[in-house]
Parts: sequence; structure tokens; C-alpha cells
Amino acid sequence: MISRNRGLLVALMLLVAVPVMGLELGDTAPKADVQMKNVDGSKVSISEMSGEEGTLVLFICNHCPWVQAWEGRIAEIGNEFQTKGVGVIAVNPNDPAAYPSDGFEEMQKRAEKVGYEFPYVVDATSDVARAFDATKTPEAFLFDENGELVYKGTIDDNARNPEQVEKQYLRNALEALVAGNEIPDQVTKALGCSIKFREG
Amino acid sequence: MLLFVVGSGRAEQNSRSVAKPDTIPVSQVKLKKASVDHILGTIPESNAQVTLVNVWATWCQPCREEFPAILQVYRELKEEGFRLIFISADFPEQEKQARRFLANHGVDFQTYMKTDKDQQFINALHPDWSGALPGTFIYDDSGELLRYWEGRAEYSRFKQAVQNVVTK
Repeated sequence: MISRNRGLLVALMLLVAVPVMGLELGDTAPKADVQMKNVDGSKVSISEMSGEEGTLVLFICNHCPWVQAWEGRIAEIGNEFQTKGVGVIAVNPNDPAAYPSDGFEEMQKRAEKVGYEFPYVVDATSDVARAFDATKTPEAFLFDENGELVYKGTIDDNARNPEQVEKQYLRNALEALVAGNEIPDQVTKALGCSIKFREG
Repeated sequence: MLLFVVGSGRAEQNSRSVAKPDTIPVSQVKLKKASVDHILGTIPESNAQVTLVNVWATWCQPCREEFPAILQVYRELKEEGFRLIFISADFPEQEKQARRFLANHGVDFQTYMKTDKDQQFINALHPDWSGALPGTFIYDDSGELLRYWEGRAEYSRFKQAVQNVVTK
């Protein structure tokens, strides 16, 4: 039998409810000065990668099939807009103890294979992802020239089949940003792999 | 009343061991492609007093890890009006793997594969769900969402969430 009197239940459940947090449009990038190890062995921060037109921060990894489905498009978009004044940095927040294929050497191989011409760095504590309230890979955060978040979400509306994409959310946002136009869809979603945060 | 509880993805304390499931032949697996609207529409039409919807995929490690715990809760409470709906978010070409996984876990009841585009699917389940897998949603007998969380959970969390609704 279901209890029809849910007043007490609801009150009890509210006590443990956690508000949904997330980086909001207009926010600046948190943890932007954290130095993260790039696949080329150098250290780089989000601040150092900021571009004249804006900055694109991508949380990605190696193991996730959703990332794998999109990684060609991620490389294409990132490489292209890096030449148009947008700073681009891809961040891997996953604990390689959970996903060995997300380890540093595997990241190096992946970056070369996929053709990332932008930094692909290790979020060594997962704290950058936590600060962004990133929950999954892939997840994109685009900041404008003032450092304010103008787009967050996914790559496009069809991970599985690039030829059947109807809405190129991230590309459209980048094109609008560079052109100085209003971004059409500022918050978008797709399924993805839960980030395996490193334990403190 | 909606309650938003976003999981950290960290493992919770497991209160008990989870029994190994009996397997069934792949031919007995009931996996149907369906829209999220169709799936959710079955909730108030069923006689279940509480329904747990779990979105999973064969490629999702935390989904695979929590799967036996959800099934254990189902087996313990199904006679008390608890209905379990698994929705696979696998790509269509992974259907065979999904069927094999379900067979290996003895899932002999109706389950589904999503057909909607991601954003539509996510927002229909809850606009605040980020889309990170796994996602778990708990509904009452009228189909009203009571709570949800994303990320892996343990047996104790599933059991408690269902028992909060089912009168013992």
C-alpha cells in the first residue's frame, strides 16, 4: 500500500534534498589558474588558454563511448575555432584508477590519434571539474571575451551519426560568439558518462 | 513534490552483499524500442504503487556495477507493488550486447531502449538531469516523480528510496 499521507515523508525527504548546482550563464571560469599537465608534458591553465574572442573548456576522456562518438567533431571544431581567436582546452577529470584507459599515456596516444591541436590536460584532483559542476563527459563550457559563460552543454544533437546531425549546438555557439551574435541555444544536453571523480 | 538529489558519483556504503542473479536465455529477454513518453505513460496505467526507472547502458561501468543491487531490491519488493523499468541508452548497434547483459542478469520482465534524441529524452525524465549515466527516477502510482538522482548508488539507497514510498 502506498501511504497517501505524504506530508511527513516529503518533509523528511526535503531535509536531505540537495539543490542542483551548476555553473550558470554569466559566471566566470572557476579554478582557471590551476596548472594542469598537458599531453605534451607542459603545464597549462584555463586562464593561459583564454583567447581574444573567448575560451572553450571541454571535459572529455578516452574511455567513454559518447566521447569517442564525438571526438572527431570535437577535434574538428576545437582545431578550427582555435584559429579564430577562441582559446581551447580539453580537460580529463576521470580517475584512471577506475578507468585505466583514461591514464596519461593513453591520453597522449588519443590526442595524437584524434588530432587534437589544443591542450588535452589532466585534472589531477578532479577539482576543476567539481568547481565547474561538470557531471559527465563530454561537456562543453564556452566563455566570451569577458570571461563570462555564454554556452554550456553538448556538441550536437546526434552523437552516433555525424551525417544525421540537425543541430550543431557547439559550432553554432562558437560561430555566433566570433561573429558577435546572440547564441541561439545557450544550454543543451546529451547523455554522457558520469565523471569518476578522484577521491580527496 | 519534486526532490532533486544529484549524486556525486562516489560509491556509498553498501549495507549488504548483493546476490548473484539467475540467468535466462537471451531469447526470453523483453527489450522494446520506445519513446520516453510511451514508457512514462505506462506508469499510471500499471498497478504499481512505486516505480523506479533506471537509465543504463552496457558501456557504462557504474550502470553495470549498480545493476545487481537494483534487481535485488526489485526481487525483494516486487510483491509489494514495486515496478522496475530499465531503459537502455545503448546505441542501436549495441542491442545484442544489451540483450545479453539483461539475460545474464535474469531480467525477465519488459525493458526498453530509448529512441528519442538525447535532449528530449533527458528533459522528459527531468529538466535538471544533466544526462550523466546512470540516472534513477522514482515515481508514485499516479506517475508523479518523487525524486531522482544521477550517478551510481548502492543497494541501501535503492531499498530506502523504494521503501519510503511502499508501506511495509
